[in-house]
Amino acid sequence: MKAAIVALVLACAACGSSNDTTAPDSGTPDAGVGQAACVANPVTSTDILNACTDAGFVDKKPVIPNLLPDGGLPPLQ
Amino acid sequence: MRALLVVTALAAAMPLRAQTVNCSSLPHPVWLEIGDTQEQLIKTLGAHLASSTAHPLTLVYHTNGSCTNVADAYAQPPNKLTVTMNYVPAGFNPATASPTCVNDIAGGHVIDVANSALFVSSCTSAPPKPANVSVVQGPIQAYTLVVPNGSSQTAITAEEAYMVFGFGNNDGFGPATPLSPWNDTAFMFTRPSTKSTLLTWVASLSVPGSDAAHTFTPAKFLGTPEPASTDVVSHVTTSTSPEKTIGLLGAEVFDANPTALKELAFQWWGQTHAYYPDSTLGAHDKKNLRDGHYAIWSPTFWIENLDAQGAPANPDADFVIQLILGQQQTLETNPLLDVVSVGLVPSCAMAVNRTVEGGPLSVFNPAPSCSCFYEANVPGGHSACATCSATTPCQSGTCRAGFCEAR
Repeated sequence: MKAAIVALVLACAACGSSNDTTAPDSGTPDAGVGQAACVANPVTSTDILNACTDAGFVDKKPVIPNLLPDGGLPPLQ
Repeated sequence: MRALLVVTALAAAMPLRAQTVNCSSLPHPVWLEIGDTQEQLIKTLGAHLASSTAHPLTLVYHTNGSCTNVADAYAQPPNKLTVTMNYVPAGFNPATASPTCVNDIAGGHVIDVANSALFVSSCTSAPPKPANVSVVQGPIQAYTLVVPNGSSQTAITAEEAYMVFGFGNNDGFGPATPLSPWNDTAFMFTRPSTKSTLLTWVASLSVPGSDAAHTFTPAKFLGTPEPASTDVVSHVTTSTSPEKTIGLLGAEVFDANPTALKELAFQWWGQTHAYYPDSTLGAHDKKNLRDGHYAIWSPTFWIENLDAQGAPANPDADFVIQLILGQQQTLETNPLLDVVSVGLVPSCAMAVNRTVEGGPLSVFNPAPSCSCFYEANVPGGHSACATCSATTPCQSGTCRAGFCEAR
């Protein structure tokens, strides 16, 4: 049970802030602290985008309406 | 006598008529057709060239869409410059508008240097590259999304931007989605289809690896196209509906208007956070662009003509390009300082690269590197690198321009 709680806390910490984007969740001076599962040694493009950094960032989780039933973005018109 | 005094007084009181200058009269001219994102670079570098005793040149330029510039340079025979030109005289202040000259060259003048502020391959309507033309990659140009200062928004994701610019009034956003208020094309200020600013966003907001139905074209990118970056700035800053307003700009235009506009942090496809081009809003270090956390950028490209032997047809034009690339150091000032001061990033200061517009990023280790020099010379910048000189060598790395660079 304790292990499950610890895992839950760690998972939440890795989620960043919730939908609230009005106040920027700025990055902290320590590399990677506050960043969701940042990549220490980036290799791929996605790794690079999510590499550990001490730069400021904004955490945003927008609600996208009009998604397809499978959750995908609709085709352009 | 009295009449003479009256005439003299009247003449003194009349505003001076602007002096007409013929382009043919300018000393050592190099004729350029550039994207408007590169105008500040040409004005800044041009001022140093016009005042140089080592290699004096006059940059005579016209701004146009990047893909128009490429098409003009690739046409056979190449299109010529027949329009009224701007030029950069000695003593010019780059913060001011540059003067114009009358293009009195019969039949127009050859384009010595053409510029694209995005991958040339993005200009799909341009003719194929002729063999007698050289194209080289130059400094990196960042592009950004801005909102009015009165907007509460701070960031936008690729998914949001896909919906905003793909569906406009029908994107589904509105009062129920206060974090995504952009749902009115009348308040979405974009650029025409030949402009690098639009084309870079077109490529960057297309869903990676997806089908044509999820790929933007300029025609599918909704909004109100503005002919000049200054028009975007004007419309965004004076918007009657700040929350709904959003605009596309070259990052250097935002850098020049930091108090009039608000830059949005951007979260690209597959990214977990949104980042500014710089380490923080208000910095000028382009840290996030340089290390790959900010993905909306493109290299600039510089095009010149070659002679029958494959050498530069105009050595002065080649000299200008080499200055922009940082390969030529014979001016009285370091030309990379001009590149850095106008918000561009020399390739030698990058840690990532890409090979196609809006394409994936890869790790990049330029040699020689100039990250220390770059970080020390951006406005408000500083470098943590060790300094060095002829008498104080580096403990590690290579001494270049006073800093111990990694390579």
